[in-house]
Amino acid sequence: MEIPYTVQPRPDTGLANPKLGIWLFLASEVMLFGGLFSSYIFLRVGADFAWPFHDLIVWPGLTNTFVLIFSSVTVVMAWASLKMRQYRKYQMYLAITILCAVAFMGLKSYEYWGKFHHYGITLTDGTIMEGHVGHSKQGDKIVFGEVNKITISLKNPSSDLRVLDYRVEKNAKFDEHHPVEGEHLYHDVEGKDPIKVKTQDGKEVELTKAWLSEERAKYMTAHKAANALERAALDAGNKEYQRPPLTVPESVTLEVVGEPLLLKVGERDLLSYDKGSLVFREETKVTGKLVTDSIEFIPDCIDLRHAKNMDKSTAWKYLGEDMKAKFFASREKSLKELKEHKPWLFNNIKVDAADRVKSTGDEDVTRRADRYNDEDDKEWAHSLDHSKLIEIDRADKRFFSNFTPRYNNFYAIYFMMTGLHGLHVIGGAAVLLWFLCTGRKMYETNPDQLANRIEVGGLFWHFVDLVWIFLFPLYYLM
Amino acid sequence: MSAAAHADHTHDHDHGHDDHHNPSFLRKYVFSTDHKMIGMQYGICGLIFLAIGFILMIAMRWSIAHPGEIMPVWIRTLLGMFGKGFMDQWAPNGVMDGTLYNMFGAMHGTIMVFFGVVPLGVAAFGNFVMPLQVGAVDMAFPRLNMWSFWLFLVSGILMFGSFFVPEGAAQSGWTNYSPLASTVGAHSPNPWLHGQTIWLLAMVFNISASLLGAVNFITTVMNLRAKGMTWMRVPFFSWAMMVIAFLLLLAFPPLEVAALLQLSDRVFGSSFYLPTGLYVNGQHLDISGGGSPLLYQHLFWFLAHPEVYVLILPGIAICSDIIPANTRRPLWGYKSMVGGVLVLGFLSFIVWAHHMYMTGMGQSISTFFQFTTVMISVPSVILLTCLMISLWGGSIRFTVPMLWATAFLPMFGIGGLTGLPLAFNMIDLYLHDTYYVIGHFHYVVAPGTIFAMFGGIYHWFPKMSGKKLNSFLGHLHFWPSLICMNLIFAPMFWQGMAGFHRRWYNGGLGFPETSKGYLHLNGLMSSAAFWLAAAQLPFIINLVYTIFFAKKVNDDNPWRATTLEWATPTPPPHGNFLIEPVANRGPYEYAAPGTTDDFIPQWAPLNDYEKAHGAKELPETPKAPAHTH
Repeated sequence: MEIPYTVQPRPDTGLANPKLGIWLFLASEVMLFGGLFSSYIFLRVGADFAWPFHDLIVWPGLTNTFVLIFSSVTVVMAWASLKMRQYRKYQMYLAITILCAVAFMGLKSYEYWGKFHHYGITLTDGTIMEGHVGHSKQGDKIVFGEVNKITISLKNPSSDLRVLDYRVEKNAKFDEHHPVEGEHLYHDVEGKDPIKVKTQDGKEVELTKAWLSEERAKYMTAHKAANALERAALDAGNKEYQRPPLTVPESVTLEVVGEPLLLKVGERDLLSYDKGSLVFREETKVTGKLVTDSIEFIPDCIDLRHAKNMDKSTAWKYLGEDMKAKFFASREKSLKELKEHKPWLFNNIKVDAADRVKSTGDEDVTRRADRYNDEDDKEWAHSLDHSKLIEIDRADKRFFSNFTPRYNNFYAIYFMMTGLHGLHVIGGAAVLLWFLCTGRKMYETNPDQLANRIEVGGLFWHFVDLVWIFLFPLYYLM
Repeated sequence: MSAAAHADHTHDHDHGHDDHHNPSFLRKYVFSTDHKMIGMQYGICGLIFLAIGFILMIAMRWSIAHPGEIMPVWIRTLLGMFGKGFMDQWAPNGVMDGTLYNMFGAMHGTIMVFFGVVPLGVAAFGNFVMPLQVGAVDMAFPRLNMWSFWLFLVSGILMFGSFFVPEGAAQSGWTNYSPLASTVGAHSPNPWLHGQTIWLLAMVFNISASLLGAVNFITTVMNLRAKGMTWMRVPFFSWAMMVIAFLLLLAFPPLEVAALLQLSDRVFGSSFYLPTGLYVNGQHLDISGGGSPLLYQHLFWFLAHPEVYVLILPGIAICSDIIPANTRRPLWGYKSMVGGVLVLGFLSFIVWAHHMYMTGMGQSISTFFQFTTVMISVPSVILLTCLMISLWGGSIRFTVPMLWATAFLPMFGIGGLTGLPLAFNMIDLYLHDTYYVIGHFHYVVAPGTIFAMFGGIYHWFPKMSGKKLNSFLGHLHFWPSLICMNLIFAPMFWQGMAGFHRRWYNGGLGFPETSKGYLHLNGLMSSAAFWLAAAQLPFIINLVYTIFFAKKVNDDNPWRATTLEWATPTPPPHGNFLIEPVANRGPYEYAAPGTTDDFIPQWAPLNDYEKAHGAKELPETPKAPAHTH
């Protein structure tokens, strides 16, 4: 059996199967990215927050654009070389194409890395501070000490001993005023051996997974037995049947034997916390004493576009009057410069009672005036170095995240689209690499088929390039 | 012309060789690249998933008719497929509660649509029949075809497996509207281990499978048609399969987007579908906000409306083969049907927001979608009318497949006509999310498509196995099914108009004013559902009996049908045809002049009558390369 038109085109359709197949596949891809571009428009038009624009650094994106365009040329050259039966040249051009893909992904990772390590904190009055998390003491974690009691749910099938993974100890050598690079006040307990606990009936046991699953098994046995009794009663038509309470408890409360625990936990691992207790997502509850829950932060940008009152922004509590004066000076300066150089931007501007620019037409003005970062003012940035680290009270925080999809919908759709595009780059490069490594045999027997493969792979590669050509201006320029 | 196609083939490279040796068991039955085996694999999986979805429905109907009562032993036995641990967790005392009902409701819809009807109707019948009908040796990309099946299987296993994660399966309806679906279980320690997240992952696999299948279908119909198989000689079934493949190809990617964005909301904490200031369980969510639930609905329905036609077109396609073969008349209006299905395919992309009248998206948009929705009823009516007129004046043989096909017509008719009022904004505002809607689309899919698929199984089973399914058991399957289906779904229209909401797990007990006077129907409908389950036993017995005990029928064309799949040996070997498949004439030459028989198959040589009336012989195929069949 042989399938016709795998290499030569069918006369009436003018297409060989693989070429028809790849065009159909690309049609589907167009719908995929079409859906994403439409989502972008939908989200941006409907955004009720300051949509970040001109926030991404242009040069890596621009470089990547040229890298991809260049690789689109080389993939065509690879195909043309095959058609001219120049195998060495084909290999070279295809290898260059793949190297371009590697370069593209390298630059992309660099961009992603920067974002993952950059944070934004929205204060309760709408002020946004961007910057980095300090890591000398608690960082952005909650430190909770003197833990002497742990309550673990047996009913919840997800409950486990994750609480023990958060154990830290205080660094005896740490000097709060002169921390050495890489030195932390709270550092991980080494080894993390199981701890000894005392159960309610006074037995001392080692808190291990095996012990917990034994306890859970006891609970489940009792639970199942009660189920069976209830089902039997209901089957017998006894509608008044009351399920008796279980003889085993639904959770175990354990007292820590010996040294109480010190925990360092991310806020998102918790369901809730207060001064005396933490509740983890898996419903494990510990009691002790809150040590600190403030966030160590090194700001490099302040964004007052959504602050209720610029003058009384909570940010000044942390940054001081000095910074506030600098901010307003800079704001005045940039408004003046803008009015001089781009007066048309002010055609639709209204100023509100708090002397804040309310743009009705152009986001550019508010962005440049009410958003102030270290690139605008190097001196300001300089004064905000490591030693000027501030500690933000968690009560002043409305939302806190690094620049991941969580941060806002601009970054969410940015990561979604560039991430999917990146996966396409990796996939396309992997296929081309496979052709490069295994093509020799086919070249000797059927060079046209190999050329078709490169053509099909090249079509996909051009599509990937085209998507980026739309992505670049959308995210970096618009 | 086709000389060029053959001359340059390489015959000594590996891939073409598999079929010349006896393939191993694994290659033949498990990792098969043969379209017929893949079709059967899809078919078996589809039937299993239909059964699973059906069992979920049985349990739900119990809860509707007997809320708060312990499920009877036979239903608990059926649910035994989930194992004891599952039941101890979710229905400890044997009574179904709201959570379990929601889980079953969401999964019933999902499994029936994406894992039952589409795999059986499109992937199974399309894979088995379509390449044979167009006279191809196999699909254009056999290995992609295999990948398609295995990706589908992975998605099916993931979806079924989602019942067993600690937080249980998806519970937000098969439509998975955000913000509910984005936030349900958001507080669980590991969001990846929530059924909702696994639903999304499974759909990504499912969509990839359907993408590969769709590319394969279209390429096969376009490029692998046999000699003489011009477009207007392609049977309507294969036309419909191509249109379906286009719908899958172009409509599924937006669902993939919808799923990926929801996945990101769930596990990466983004807010694509989550508006600012969202409260869940009395708590302000720790999210950035700024998204829109409407975005999800747009992306979802952009798929899910074309998906409706993916569900119904296989039914129409199957009937378009069964009806001519049993009325012994040509399909009436073949050309208008082809035109109709193409227009239908196009229009199905611009009607999606009629599912969203309730969202308040604005009058002008609603009006636009109302207009296109009414418009799409035109090609649908063309298709149904052509099938009905095809019956006119025929000497109908009421074989078992024909019974299902004739029942399909009025059942789909009821489903379609009850949909018309829903197209109108002002009526839909009242009927939205009521049992009226449930009745409407179940009439389309259950006694509609599923009946047609049963017909298709009875029709093509002789070609798949060489054995005819038992006719008595077939009748025993058909008549109770027909009666029970109507007893289940017809009362839904009355209940819906009274205001019964589709998601009531207790059948309306909590709303005595609304349900007054219609509550007793629950008992009738649920009993009918239980009898419908019993009515499927003859079918299962029939399948087992025929496969293992029935005698082979030595007939390649038992129905005396005209299309090319009946020209193959039975069952068709790898490579399909022993003769060179050709199409000398249109696909439905029944009761044609110039023959003593009452039909002329597509592959039969031209007869004198045809020659005298201007039919020309096809050009001789150049000598095929030595080792092709």
